[in-house]
Amino acid sequence: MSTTLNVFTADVLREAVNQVFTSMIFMSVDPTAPINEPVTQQTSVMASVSFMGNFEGSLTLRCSMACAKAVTANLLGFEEDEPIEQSDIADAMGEVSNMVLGSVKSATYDKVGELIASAPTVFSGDHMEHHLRAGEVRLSTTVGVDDTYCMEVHVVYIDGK
Amino acid sequence: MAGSLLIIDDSSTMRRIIKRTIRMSGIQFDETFEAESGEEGFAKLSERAVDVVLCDVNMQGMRGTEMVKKVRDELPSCAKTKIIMVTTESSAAFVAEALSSGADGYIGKPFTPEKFQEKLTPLL
Ligand SMILES: [Mg+2]
Repeated sequence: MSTTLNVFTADVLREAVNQVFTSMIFMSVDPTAPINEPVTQQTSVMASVSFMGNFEGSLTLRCSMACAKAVTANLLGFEEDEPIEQSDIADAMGEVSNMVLGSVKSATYDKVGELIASAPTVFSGDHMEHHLRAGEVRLSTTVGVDDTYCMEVHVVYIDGK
Repeated sequence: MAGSLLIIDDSSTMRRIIKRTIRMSGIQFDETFEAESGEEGFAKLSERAVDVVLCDVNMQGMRGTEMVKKVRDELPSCAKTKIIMVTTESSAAFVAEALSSGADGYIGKPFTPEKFQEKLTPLL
């Protein structure tokens, strides 16, 4: 059985985000050029989906509210002047986290088998931090989106589970 | 292009994304219907057959593959209806399950307008 560490790598996470953003959101993703957008120092949006199976944990995307609005408008095909509600942002970011996990699932299927995903949960707020519980390990990476935004991707899992 | 479409997905967001993607693919349906569960999808198909169904798999209540099986078993009026599963599931086991339930194909998420064109055009 593979260990969690060599299954969920930063490359797998970045490629999953890249697939979802280029095919469904029509925004460019650059995994090599980190964008200096201070996500934690402004209102940010966190979208999280947990998974169960041979490995258990959660995948979380976090980005600035400005980025989340741009993602929502593109994903849902909003017109330029169409108002974007909080619920649209929650729906869109939830779907994005779900699809990114879907891509991660496909990429890791040979090593870990089927992972069952939960429904996504979305939060927004200022200065949000994600704290680990005892025994949890986090793998984090970032990608640049449209040369403007920084999208954080985190996978938290229970070590050895 | 002609035809009628039923989109079954428990997420209204995903139904909106699917409609946007179909628009971008250049495919036009005369009529598009929506259902937010397998139960509602089955009820709509019992009332009226459509040409194409795009069906989510993971939904509360009746799973997409269960609904397809029920349509194939109980609705002879839908014998010509083409059913495509739209899902993040991509394992070989899932694809086998989907096809054996009576689906005509599947589109994996994430998807592109080109993917919809490739999968739907031959059906119309
Ligand atoms: Mg669903």
